[in-house]
Amino acid sequence: MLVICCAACTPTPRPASLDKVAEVRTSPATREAEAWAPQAHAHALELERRSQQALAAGDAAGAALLADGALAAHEHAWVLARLARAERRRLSAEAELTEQQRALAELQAQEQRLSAEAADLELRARVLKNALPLAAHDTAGPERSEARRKAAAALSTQGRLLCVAARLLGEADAVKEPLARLDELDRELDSAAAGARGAGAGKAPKALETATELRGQCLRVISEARRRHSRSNPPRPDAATAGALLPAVPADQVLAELSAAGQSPARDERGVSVVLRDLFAANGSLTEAGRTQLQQLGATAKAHPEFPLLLVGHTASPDAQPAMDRQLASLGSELASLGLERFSTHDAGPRQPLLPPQLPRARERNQRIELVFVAPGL
Amino acid sequence: MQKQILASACTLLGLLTVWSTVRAQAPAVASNPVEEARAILQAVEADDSARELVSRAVNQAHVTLDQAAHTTAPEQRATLDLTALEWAEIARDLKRARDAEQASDRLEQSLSALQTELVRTRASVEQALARVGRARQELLDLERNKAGGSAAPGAQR
Repeated sequence: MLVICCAACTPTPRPASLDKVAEVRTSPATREAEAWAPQAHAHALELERRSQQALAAGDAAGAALLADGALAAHEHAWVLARLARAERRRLSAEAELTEQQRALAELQAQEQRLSAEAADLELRARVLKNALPLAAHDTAGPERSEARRKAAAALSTQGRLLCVAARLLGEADAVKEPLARLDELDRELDSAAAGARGAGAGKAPKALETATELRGQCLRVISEARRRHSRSNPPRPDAATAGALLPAVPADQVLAELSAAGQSPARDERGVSVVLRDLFAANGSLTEAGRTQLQQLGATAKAHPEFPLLLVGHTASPDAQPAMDRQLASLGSELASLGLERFSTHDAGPRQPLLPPQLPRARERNQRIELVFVAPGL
Repeated sequence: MQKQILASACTLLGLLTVWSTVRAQAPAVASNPVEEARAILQAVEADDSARELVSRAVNQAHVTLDQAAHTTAPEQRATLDLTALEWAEIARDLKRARDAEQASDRLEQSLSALQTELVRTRASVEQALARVGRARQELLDLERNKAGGSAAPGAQR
């Protein structure tokens, strides 16, 4: 009886988990959870309260189970706090990202605007420079005269290619007069060359000035055509630039696509050009590699139908001209078979060498075909 | 001040997002905490990428479920069932927290790259401004030369 009485009066032992709950409740993690996940924190406190009530009522087992529940609830509150913090970080980063993307788009638009303005001003300066009269030069010896004749021939060819490119952009009327004058100039230069080879009496008086002036005229025609085109066709985003913040300038797109296709394109006043070599076998037929390269270029051209094509043949010497004409005709047929319609071929002869003919390997460097994607806009 | 408002808004949105996600993904009626816990555990255990992260919580949930199954007192059994559910939810929310942290990391990386791009673009804008200035000056000089009838600069051939 005494034993039973003693047992009844002994206080219920406090479960260890309840002490652990008290310890967890005061930890920094729980204080953080109180701020970030208040409901979950309140739930944990409620379980702890119920555990203490159970203990006071003498239910040690129930108190221990509720204390275990309180521990789990505290941990859950801490996990929810971690989740809320991560969500806040994510939302904050998203907001910042949107803001920075907007700022970047504005800056890129500004850069594009300024670059276009600079390019326009530079072009106007170049046209103006070409239109200025050259300084008078003294009577020169035969070597100097020959150098001037060659320079005039190169300038005349550059001018002609610019005018041909402008014609492809629909400026046929505007280039009629400069092309006719270039024909006349070329005749003069040819006769001067014949004279130089002969008795040394051939001269092309004022040829350099005329070539410079005509080149400037052709550059002006193509620049004005492009300015008009750019005003009426501002660049728009398309599939290729969907990921970019701003649409790229069309000529830049062509340049990028050609580079990505393994070509070595370059920008010049006509547009984007690719130098083609070794397209033909010794028997004059198009090689398989040449055909593949042409098909790749044709695919780019088809993707950008607003860019007409200009095929320019450069020979290393006048005797290579007939073969070049045949090659240009063959390439023209090949382009037509690929479904391309807007293209023109032009034989520039040996007037634009890359290397002086006396240098080693000059012949193979100078003999080349250029494929120009004529840029319709600035 | 603006930053503080933005931070508060983000906090509120974060809390709301967590609350709504937890609410939306919880079963509509928690009729049986055991079934609910088992469903959550099944979903969590199906994701191998989170196995290590959630292993302790998953294990605790299973142990508590077993304990509940062997308990005869209905009140104690109910307490254990709810504790098991709590552990299952801990596992699920741990995985969610990790996913949100990874998403934040990715966004912050993009932000860092974007900030570099911003600096670069600012420099390009400065360069473009200088280029416009130079081109304007050149054009002005050429127009003066043209008006004066002199030859192009550097045009001696």
